[in-house]
Amino acid sequence: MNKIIIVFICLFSSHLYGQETDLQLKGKIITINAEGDEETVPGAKIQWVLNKAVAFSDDAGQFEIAAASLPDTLMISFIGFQTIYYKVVDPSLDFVFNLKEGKVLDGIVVIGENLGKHIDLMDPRHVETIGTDELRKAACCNLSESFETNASVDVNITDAVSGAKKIQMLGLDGVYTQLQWENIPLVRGLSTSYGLSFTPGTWIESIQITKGTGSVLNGYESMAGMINLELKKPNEAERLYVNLYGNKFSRAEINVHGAQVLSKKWSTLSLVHISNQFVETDVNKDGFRDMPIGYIAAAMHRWNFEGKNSEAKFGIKAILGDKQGGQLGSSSDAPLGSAWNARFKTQHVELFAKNGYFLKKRKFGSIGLIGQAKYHEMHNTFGNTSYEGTQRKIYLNSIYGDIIGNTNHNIKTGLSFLLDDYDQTYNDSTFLKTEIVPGAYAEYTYNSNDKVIVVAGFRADYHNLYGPLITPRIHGKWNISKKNALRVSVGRGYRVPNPFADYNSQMASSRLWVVSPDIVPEDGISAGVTFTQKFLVNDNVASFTIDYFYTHFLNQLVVDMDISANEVHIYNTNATSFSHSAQAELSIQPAKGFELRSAFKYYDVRGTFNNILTQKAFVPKFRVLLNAGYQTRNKKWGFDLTGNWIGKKRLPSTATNPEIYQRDVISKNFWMLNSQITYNFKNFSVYLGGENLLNVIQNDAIISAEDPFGAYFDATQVWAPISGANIYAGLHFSIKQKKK
Amino acid sequence: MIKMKNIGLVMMLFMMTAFSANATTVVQGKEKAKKVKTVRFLTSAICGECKERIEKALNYTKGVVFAELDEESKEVTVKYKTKFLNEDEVKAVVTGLGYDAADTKRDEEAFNKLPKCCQSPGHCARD
Repeated sequence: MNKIIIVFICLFSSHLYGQETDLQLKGKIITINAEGDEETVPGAKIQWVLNKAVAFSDDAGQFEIAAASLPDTLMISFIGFQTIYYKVVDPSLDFVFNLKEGKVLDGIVVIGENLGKHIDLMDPRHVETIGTDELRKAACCNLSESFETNASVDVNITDAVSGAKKIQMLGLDGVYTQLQWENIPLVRGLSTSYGLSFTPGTWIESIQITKGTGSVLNGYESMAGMINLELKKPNEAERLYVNLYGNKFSRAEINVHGAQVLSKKWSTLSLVHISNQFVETDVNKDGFRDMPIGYIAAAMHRWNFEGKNSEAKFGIKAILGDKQGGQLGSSSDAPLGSAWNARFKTQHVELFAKNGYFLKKRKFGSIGLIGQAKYHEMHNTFGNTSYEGTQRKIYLNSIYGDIIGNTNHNIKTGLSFLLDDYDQTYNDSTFLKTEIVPGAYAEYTYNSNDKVIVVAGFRADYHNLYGPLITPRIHGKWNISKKNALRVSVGRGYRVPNPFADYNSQMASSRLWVVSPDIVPEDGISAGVTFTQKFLVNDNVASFTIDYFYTHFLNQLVVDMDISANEVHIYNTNATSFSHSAQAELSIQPAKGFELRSAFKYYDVRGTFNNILTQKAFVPKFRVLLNAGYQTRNKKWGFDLTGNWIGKKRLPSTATNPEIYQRDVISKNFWMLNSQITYNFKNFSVYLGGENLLNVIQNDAIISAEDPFGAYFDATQVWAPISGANIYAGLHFSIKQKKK
Repeated sequence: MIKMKNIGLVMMLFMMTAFSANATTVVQGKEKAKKVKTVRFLTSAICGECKERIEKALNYTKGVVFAELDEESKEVTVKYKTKFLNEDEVKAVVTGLGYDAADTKRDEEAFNKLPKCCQSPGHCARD
């Protein structure tokens, strides 16, 4: 029956378009096998992107497809191979398409590696991709600074001491967003608070952002969204890449990457990053370092193997960090009672491996295995408060993918295993916890000619401490026309919290920690609808996207700062907590090389704090993003300007403090303006940029800064920048791989 | 905290800086029309890699204001200063890379050094 449908589609499409023109485009699909020999590829799908006509290659790899109206783009795809897009102007040529093996493991197809930001109309989930060009628009030192020109991810400063930044999606704290790199967990467990700064920006090739729940394949987390990083690949990265960065606050960074293609099968890549803050600065004159001084060093060594029926990626990553914040002149070596000091020491090492196999007997079948072993150690002190944590983790995930009958029905299924062994000490209290979570999942995809795609996923995990966790999720996409996509998603997600690590920055205060001994997993349901319309403005593609997401917590770990200004209460509650998030975004290119983007966001995030249903603190109701980018026609100059308007935020009450230590309960709105100018020489580029150009500074960000050991000290009430305008400069130098 | 006036000022400064790089070209085009010429010709480029090679070589040739290759039609548009080079010399840059430039034939030695994907259609994957 399924074969009949395929034949019918072929006949129908050739009949439909064949009448309009006699032109027939002919060609052959080949691949080069591991021995370097040419092989034909039967059964590959050949499709016009605009008129949608479809053909398949025959047993000899030959195909013929009606060329109704040209130019059009041919899309050649075959499971287990990278999709080729090729613009055809002259159909009289004989085409030979060489399919490259790969992408067994990756769930996301990246169209074009060097695009700026784009939203794919094909994916069943609403995935925004930030490419290398977009990342280069702002010299992003690390992952937390990679979202400056993106509207879907908000970045906030966690406190006035650590210099750390955290993300928010749908108005919800970053802990509800699942972060991973190439489907391997990234920021999770003890690294939740500071982990974003451990991934250097230059390591990132592209970022995929999915709003709402993600695939069940990746686990039960991702309530507000999922962020997946594609890091530089050994077989594609520059042979040599050097990046230097320095800013006016004495932060200096160096990144060096080296890639080697050793043979057709093997390639390797080494990445080294060192950043250091040399000098203490105090722009807001509160006696505290605006940014901690110290270093982060990160290194990764990875290997790629691409065989005939298998591929493997494996390697090692290590991070070492030691930073000290606090009062000017303070030191962790000074005797107790000296100046207030905060120290952040981190050691992290992880081994990772991904293996994929094509099944010889199942043409569309493949098996993928992902493994990660991680050791993460933190030693943090905040004045007289100390926190130490160690996490040992083993993660295994298997993926079996195949079709059911024909390519309209796909299935992915597998087993997973997670072991997290935590050893944490908060002052004199020690907490030991071992989590063991075996799980199984299945995800069925129905694809009707890429026009309608429905993904239904279900997973069941058994947590040794909390029992079964059942995760159903469904995503759907409908291309009402060729230029738009309507998407819906509903799904459930869970998260097992680690309050001392997740909210570590709350220790930068004299607030007494009152943590419930009965912590249970957070449980939420997220539903959303997204509509994307693409259209032409002066022959350039423009897009308009509008979305709405609703997240409802059935159980949430609440960080309640409203009970008392001297206390922070952390407890699970099933009291009302929800988030409404709406966003409208318009992206146009009015002229060649000139791009304008604007986004408006509305958040209504409420929870029950101090037994009152109220707006969540530090989340603005309204946000606006404006971005203008221009590149000269000779591609030598690049200019970028980004404005972020952040609306008023509710702040926790400080009414119980003495009057001099009381603060407003509503913050002020403000603009954050960043800009960068890049000049590209033939083999290297230089950039000069500015952040917070309007010099916005939150005055009195630290409560009781003059008495940091006193009862009212609080450096966690930060809602705006504390260090004023920043100027930076740097360069990129690269030697590309030789193309074969 | 922040006045709208300041935002407007910074925006204006940005726009002025952003467009100043090309403003020179426009003025030259009008006032010294004879000294700046635009030429368009077909090439034997195939893919994105070819586009990058041709545009880069031309854009970093002394006297070229800008060069753009349309990947669809394979036509390259080059705006150049006649003081530094002429049309034949513009084409010579392209042929020297291993591509045909209108009726001017490619340099065979350079062609043989091109990656396979730039030698025959269909071998370039945009992936």
